[in-house]
Amino acid sequence: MTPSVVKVCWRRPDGTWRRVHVSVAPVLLALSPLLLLAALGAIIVHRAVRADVDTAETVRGLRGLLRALPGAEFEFEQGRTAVLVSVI
Amino acid sequence: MNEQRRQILQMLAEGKITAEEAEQLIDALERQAEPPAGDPPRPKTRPKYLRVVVSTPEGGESPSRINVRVPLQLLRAGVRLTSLIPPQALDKVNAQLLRSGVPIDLAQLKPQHIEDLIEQLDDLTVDLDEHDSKIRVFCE
Repeated sequence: MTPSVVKVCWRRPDGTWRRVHVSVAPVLLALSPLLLLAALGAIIVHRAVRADVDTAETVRGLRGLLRALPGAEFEFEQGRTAVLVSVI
Repeated sequence: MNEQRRQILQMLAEGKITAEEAEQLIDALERQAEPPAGDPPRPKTRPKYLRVVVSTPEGGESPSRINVRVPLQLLRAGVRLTSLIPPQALDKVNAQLLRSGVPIDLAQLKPQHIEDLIEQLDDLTVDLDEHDSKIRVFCE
């Protein structure tokens, strides 16, 4: 299961909460040119450095990391400031 | 239960019972294995998350609280990625650790060992109480 929504909540100075649900798929789609460039850069660096890293294993590992993200949650609160980021 | 099933199959192989009788016996075994409908659910489930909570007391100047929930599966996936660290990089890290007085050979640390460690995290609970902060690490 890959993450589908990232929920971001923050507390405003008047004490009320704002919630924003960000869909991951459209963001990934919008960032896809950058991601493609990053992937190409990684492949070029990998070839240039001749690092002893298994590319297929790396992709599998990253995919596993992505699939394990749902459920992760980070909450920070200090004084009147509060932020909550949750991956669903 | 597996032993009884094996005995049934052995009796079938020896010709002591027919295939139909064997099937009936195995069905009966499976019915026994099923828990009765009225049984309460198991009280303890396997933890899925590692929770880290850092908080300062309410009475302080600016009370703060950090609450992080990490899926254990994410830890496992991260550990698997450590196997991709090239040996040259490990050698450099080992040399630096040795220079800092920490003679640990990271090359000896296999992903399987770390995965075993994560498996045992289920029972982990760390409680740290200081005068100005409180830290709790536990699985849920």
